[in-house]
Amino acid sequence: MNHALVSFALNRQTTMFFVVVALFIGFAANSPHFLDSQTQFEILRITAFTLIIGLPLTYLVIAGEVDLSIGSNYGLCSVVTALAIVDWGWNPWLAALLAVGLGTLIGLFNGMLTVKLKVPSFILTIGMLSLLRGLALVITMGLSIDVSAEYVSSFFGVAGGKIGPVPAQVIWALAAFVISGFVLRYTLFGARLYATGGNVRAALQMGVNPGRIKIWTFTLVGFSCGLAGALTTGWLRIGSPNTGAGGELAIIAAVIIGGAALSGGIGTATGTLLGAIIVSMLQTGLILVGVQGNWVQVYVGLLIVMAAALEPYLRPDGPFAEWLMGLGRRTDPG
Amino acid sequence: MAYHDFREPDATGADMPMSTDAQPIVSVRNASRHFGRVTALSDVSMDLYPGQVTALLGDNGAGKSTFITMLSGVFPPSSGEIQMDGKPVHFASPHDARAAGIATVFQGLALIEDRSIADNLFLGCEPVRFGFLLDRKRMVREAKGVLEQLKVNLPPVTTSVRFLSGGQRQAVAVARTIVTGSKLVIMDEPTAALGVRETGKVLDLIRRLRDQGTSVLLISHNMDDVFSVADRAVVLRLGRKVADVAIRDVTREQIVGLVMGGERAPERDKQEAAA
Ligand SMILES: Nc1ncnc2c1ncn2[C@@H]1O[C@H](COP(=O)(O)OP(=O)(O)OP(=O)(O)O)[C@@H](O)[C@H]1O
Ligand SMILES: [Mg+2]
Repeated sequence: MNHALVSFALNRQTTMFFVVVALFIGFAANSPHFLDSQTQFEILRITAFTLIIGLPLTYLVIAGEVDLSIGSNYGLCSVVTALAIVDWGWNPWLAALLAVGLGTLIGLFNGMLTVKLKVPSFILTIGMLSLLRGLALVITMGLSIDVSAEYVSSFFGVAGGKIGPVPAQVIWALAAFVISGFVLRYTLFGARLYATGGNVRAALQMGVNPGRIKIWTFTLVGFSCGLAGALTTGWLRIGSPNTGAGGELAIIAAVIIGGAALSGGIGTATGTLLGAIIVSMLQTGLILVGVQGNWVQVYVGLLIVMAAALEPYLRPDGPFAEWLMGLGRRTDPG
Repeated sequence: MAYHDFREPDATGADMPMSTDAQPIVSVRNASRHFGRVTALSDVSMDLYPGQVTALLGDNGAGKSTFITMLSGVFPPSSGEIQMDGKPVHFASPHDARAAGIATVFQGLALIEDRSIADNLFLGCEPVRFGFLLDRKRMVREAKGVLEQLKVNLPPVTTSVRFLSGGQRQAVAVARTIVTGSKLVIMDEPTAALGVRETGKVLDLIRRLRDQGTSVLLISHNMDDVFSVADRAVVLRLGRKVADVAIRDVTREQIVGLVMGGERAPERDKQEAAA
């Protein structure tokens, strides 16, 4: 077996693609409603929200940092959008802009504290997770804010409408995917992101400014939380302080299952796309085949553990690769 | 001060007979560097001339890496000054130093494991189009050209550095200095962990650079390497410069003695202290 073939077989994306296909067939065979277009679009919609935040988070993980406050940031921004529309009477577009700005600022704050004050991002963002969720609960006094049908704006169509049968969020996520993948692969920023997470010291010595890269990336993650928050309020016409609670886990799961390494330097947009599809398919499909809601969490958790445990074996220089190469040596006469 | 010179000690202790006619490319004036309460470098001055190979010697922790890291713009000296072509320069980042013509092979090589050979070669000075798009075609083309000059066996330039042998990695790190085209090439232990053949190739490259008129600053613990390529040796001990001598004026034993703080130099200390 030659080198190219081995690396194809080992390619995470290839493996994961087969996982996606296997899950799809499994669910389709066991649930009569799985193939309904409604179910499929529901899966796509969950995938979309996972991706809008998950892709920037992939960047952050590549840069060697993590943001656990994404779910809370998302929730707070959703609440603020509704608050601005209903309580302050803002134009919905302006309200959305405010939410995006707020999310971006929170991201910038996380980035500055991590880079300038050298607070480990893991600890900092656990704090922010609690702080931002608390804020969302305080400003709404724990109650959801309804954006009733009397508010009319093109914003609601853009956030929650459909183009043909395709939910608008799916279009947003697709755009995010194409841009993210392009940036990672073809731009200077992408190259420096991988360098920052791959070897900070080397990046520094070779004239890359890892701190600046990290701050930008944190800011981008915040921006995406703001965007997702505004879109959610526009779509559901409700600002709930519990929006996105626990969402950080599903999103981080998608990123990790997608092959990004928390140690930094590794990750792709395609991987995160496949990871997001796997997680959303599990969330929807397991319930359809009659698994009790609480068990879904168990399965998603299991998948993360498995993905993490198998990672060292699946590395391009790991035991599995050597075994495959060994097979090649035995069968090749040369 | 524990300054040792086998020739006439002179005021600066830096100019060499073979180079008195040439202007130094880089001069470091009274540079010190502190890390918290650790003084890694104390009042070191050095002139580096074109077409000359200077060996920077000293025991572990003597301050060699600190000195060259400072020269490469990673951090500025705590006090003192760097001059290029007679004018003071301030490097805000390694990028500035590279742009000014100082290229460095760092101890540990500064490679990104999961990136390709080409990506690593251009790390920090990537060719771009429109200011943000990587020019990969150009990277691959130029990478091939540069690596051919080195005459090392390497897999295709799109291979991850993770799969390279020690010598191949070293070659990639060394090749970076050719990419930018430099007036001063600094190598921090470039032959550490290399076999005889690979070491020979690195030394050949150093000679070639010298013949092209490049100044080379070589850090090494290997006296064979030093005596085969260097024209001059500067010895640091505990962050201070204790000797600056022409290689042809000294023996190995004398150099080793200076590095280890052997008998000769301390005697000199006493003489100087008494004077
Ligand atoms: N970033 C840093 N922070 C604190 N102390 C440092 C730092 N870098 C170097 N030092 C200290 O400065 C001194 C000189 O270190 P340096 O790395 O320059 O030595 P060296 O001569 O290159 O040694 P070696 O031959 O082992 O590479 C050491 O005592 C080291 O502990
Ligand atoms: Mg060193």
